[in-house]
Amino acid sequence: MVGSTKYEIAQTAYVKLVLHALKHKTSAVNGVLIGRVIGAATAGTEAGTAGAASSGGKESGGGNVTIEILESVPFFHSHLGILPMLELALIQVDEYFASLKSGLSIVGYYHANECFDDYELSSIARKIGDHIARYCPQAGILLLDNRQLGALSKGGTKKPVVQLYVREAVRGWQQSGPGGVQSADLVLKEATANSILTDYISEHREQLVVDFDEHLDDISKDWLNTNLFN
Amino acid sequence: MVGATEEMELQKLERDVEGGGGDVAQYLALVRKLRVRRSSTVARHGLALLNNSSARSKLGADVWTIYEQVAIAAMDCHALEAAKECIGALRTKFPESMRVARLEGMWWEAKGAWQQAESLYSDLLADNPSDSALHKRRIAMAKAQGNLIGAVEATNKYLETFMADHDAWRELADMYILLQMYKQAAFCFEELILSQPTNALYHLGYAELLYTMGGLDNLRAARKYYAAAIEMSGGQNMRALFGICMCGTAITQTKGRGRDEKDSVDLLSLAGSVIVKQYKEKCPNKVDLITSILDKQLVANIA
Repeated sequence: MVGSTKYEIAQTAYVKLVLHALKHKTSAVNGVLIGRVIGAATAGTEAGTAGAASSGGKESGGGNVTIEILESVPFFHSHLGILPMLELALIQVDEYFASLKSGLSIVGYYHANECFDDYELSSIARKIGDHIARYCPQAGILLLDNRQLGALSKGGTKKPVVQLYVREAVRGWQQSGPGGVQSADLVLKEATANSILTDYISEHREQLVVDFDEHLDDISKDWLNTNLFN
Repeated sequence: MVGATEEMELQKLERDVEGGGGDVAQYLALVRKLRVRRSSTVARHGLALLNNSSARSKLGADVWTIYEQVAIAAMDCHALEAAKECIGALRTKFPESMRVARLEGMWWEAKGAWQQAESLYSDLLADNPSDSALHKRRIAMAKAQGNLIGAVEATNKYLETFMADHDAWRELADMYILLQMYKQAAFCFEELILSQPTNALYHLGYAELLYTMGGLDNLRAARKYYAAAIEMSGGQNMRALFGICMCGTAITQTKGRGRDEKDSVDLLSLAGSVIVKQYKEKCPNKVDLITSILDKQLVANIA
């Protein structure tokens, strides 16, 4: 890979996915990241819906690519390794954001492990990531980092409480940063993200998060979570 | 499963308790009865109740059950000191108790002291080889240490003795799914369906596994089990209804259109119409989205 890849996550997407994991703290959870790819020569593959080819974004040369993550959609908190409802969720989310015609599409996947001290990206997460990367080659995976999450409650950290994994041609999914893929970096779009997150946790807002699993049990619950930030 | 009315009752009691009023003992009893996991609320309010000597004396014989309940909840929240006090109180009252010994083992587990827990459990099992809860603790311990293969082996061994334990079969299936050993997981569901043929959830779980494994035969079988799940749930189960639509599409993609597709299209449009009806009633803002997806699936099957 030439140049560097920056993954910039917006506060709302970030807070929502961490709260989702906190709501179901005794099980693994997953979901998808929604946004757009800016500055990629090959942006907008077939199924990546209409507007993946950056609209009005800053076209930076030198092969630098930015993946703007603007939204997240919580998917499941049980049976993550089962295909049919995952496919259904992907179809619905893809179709929904395509219908908005805002140029947004699925640009990544997030995952939180069941065990607190498990920091590995599981093979199921890798497979789902592979699937998403087929439609969005720059897609990244965010894995919840329980150590950073613990540090958050003990006075705060400015760093995101998730780890970024990017896909390399030969080695597959690799963690970014020192000792891993140097050319990829995850940044929080708003510096206030972690303090908002801390506030929301103390207000027990994680109880408000609705994922696709719950939607299937009771379809009047909306996985768009429009009320979460009111 | 917790019924809707019980869930409402629980939520009301929980609000009262969290608000400072409400009968904590009654709340704790309901949590026990419904077997729900509300560890942080139980631990906080349970401890306050137990530390208040006048309130505690009114509990009567229930006090020991509450000590046990609060101890487990506290361990779940990693409040190890509080848990230790509860277990200590129980130990003083029941010095020879096996049930208290199990709690002590769980305390070592919560602390991450696997060896102490393991040696305690082995001693206890030597005296009581048929205590199923002890066997389950050992399985849980293997799982907590990330040793999924070990947990699977132990569960298989456990099921040789305790064949009728449905939850254990279900747990074993879940572990096989995590290991992506879908065939073995399917076998667990076959056992479950045989023992409880009218449980819609087992048919649903089996269908989802068959779909995941893929291939024409599995997809056709999945469609049948989805259909069974719909019948048993009175057409209410959204997962099964959507499953029928997903199977229809997947079957067409796998083999192309064939002569027996008339039935398939009928089934697809029937399931689709039920889905749309449900969305119109309960989730009107998604009707357009769902209709457009279902139409595409239907067109792919006809065209």
